[in-house]
Amino acid sequence: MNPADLAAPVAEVSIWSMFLHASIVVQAVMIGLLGASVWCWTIIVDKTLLFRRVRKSMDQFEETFWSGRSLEELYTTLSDRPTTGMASLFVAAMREWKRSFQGAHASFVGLQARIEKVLDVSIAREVEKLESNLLVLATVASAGPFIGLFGTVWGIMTSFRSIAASKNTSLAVVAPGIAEALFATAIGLFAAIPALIAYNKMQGDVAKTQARLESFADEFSAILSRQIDQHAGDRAA
Amino acid sequence: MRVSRKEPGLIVSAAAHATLLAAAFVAFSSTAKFDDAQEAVPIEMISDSAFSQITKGEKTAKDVKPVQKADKIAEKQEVKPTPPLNEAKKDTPLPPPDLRRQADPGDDDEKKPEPQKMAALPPPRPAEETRPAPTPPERPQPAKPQAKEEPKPDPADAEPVAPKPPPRPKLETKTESKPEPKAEAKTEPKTESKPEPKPAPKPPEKARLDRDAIAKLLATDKSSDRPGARPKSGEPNDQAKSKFSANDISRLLDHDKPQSTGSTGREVIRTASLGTATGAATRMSPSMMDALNSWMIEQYTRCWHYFGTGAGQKYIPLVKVRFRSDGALAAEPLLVNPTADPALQSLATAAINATRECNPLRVPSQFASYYEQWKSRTIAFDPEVMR
Repeated sequence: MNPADLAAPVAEVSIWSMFLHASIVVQAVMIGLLGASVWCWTIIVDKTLLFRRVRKSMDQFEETFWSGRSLEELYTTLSDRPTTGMASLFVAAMREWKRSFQGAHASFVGLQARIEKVLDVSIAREVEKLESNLLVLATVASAGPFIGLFGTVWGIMTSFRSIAASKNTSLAVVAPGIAEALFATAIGLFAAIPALIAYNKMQGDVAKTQARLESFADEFSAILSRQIDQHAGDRAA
Repeated sequence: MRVSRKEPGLIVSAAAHATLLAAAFVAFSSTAKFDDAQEAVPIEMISDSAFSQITKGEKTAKDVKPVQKADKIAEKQEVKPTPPLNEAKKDTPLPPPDLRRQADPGDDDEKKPEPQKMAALPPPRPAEETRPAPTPPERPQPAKPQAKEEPKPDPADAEPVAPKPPPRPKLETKTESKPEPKAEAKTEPKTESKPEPKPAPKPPEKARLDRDAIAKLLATDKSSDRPGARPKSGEPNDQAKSKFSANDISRLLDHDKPQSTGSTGREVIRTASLGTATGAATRMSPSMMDALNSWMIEQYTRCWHYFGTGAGQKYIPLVKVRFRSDGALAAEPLLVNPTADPALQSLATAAINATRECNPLRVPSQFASYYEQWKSRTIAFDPEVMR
């Protein structure tokens, strides 16, 4: 076995040739990890934009909510279009409020509890919308290095088997296989590191947004309960 | 995930990865090669014995190497005499004082040597020498450096020059002087020289001739024994002078070397002249070693005078014997394992005495070439075996 013959085909060590010369398992790992990286960055970009949008709308709504406008007027303007964040909470609570009053036999008993339920549900829906796909980031962050390591181990295994077959331990023969194998780990780390960072960051953002929604819900339910008591007093009177 | 304006993540991400991959393709397309690493050359370690095997000489080279070794030994002795000869050349300036002496005492002393040389040379020279002698000592002094530098060339110059002056004074004198014996020449130049200088008053040429003559005289004075060689003829005299140059002497000495190295050559020849002196080029086979051992024990058994019984005592004196190449003891035999038991010391002394008694151990010639391996041996004098 002439080492030159073995080394010649792998003399070119560009990334594309490394990919082509890798075994099919390593190729699958590479492609999968590259896809995971693309997916992670898609999520990261989308979520970043979403969080920015949600925060802006929440700021805007809080401003209008505390500006002293009547709740009825605000409800009529907001109920026409799809809402996000606090506005959706407000719309959901107001809808439940209106339904209780529009009926002929409106009963205030349990209205408070119902409104809080509605608020909880809408909070959960909003948070679920916010943190959807974040688990993908977590999964890629934790599993990416392992997948890459799997590709590396497989590639090194293959190259060692080829060494055993060729009975040639020249570094020129060993090096390309190991480089291909390590390329899998590189892609795995390339996908996992941003995913992990983004996951932690977005998890914090989601928690912050959730706390803000809950505080608004508490405040809004308090306002509504005061209104309920007033209406109840009016009816009793 | 739907591609929408609100969620452009997929497009952005795909575009970013595409550009990144493109950049990676460009960046990694040409990997920087290492400097060409030379393939490691396998190195084999060679042991001393293997090296000595390499230095093993050829069997046919036996005759050549002893001569080389002999020459080395001889050069040390012969080089010494040559330098003093070279120094003697340099010492040639010393004789000039002799000139003064010769000049001062008178013409008679000079004239005697002069004719010896001058027999072939023109007579005017002796006369000229007489002149400078009275005139000033200055002329001889400048002649000193010339004499130093031109001892050899002078004779050559003297021959061509010599004919020139004679024609002026007398051609007859030359013709007469050459064939005639020097004894006659001595008398003739004296008589002729006196008249000649008078007719030939040319000072510059004479001065040159004077210097040449002085240089020759110097050479003759140094080696006062040479007149015996001169009587042959004029030209042979010059050759004889040239023979006395340092080169000739060194040649003579070179011829003497082989004669003086005869004694030193013996050892060299006995060591079989294979390879280097220390290299055990050939190794005794185990069978040969065994044969040598048995032969040695057999030899020592003859010189072994011990009639006690070492049986039961379990003492076998080990005597370390160092041989020269001719089998003689190179050093006093040494008892390796001395015993404190006085009863056994007689055994030990008997063993040592045996080695001394067989002192020139005539080692068989087939073992001669393996001297390196038996030059130091420890011989066990087992009373039971050597009986």
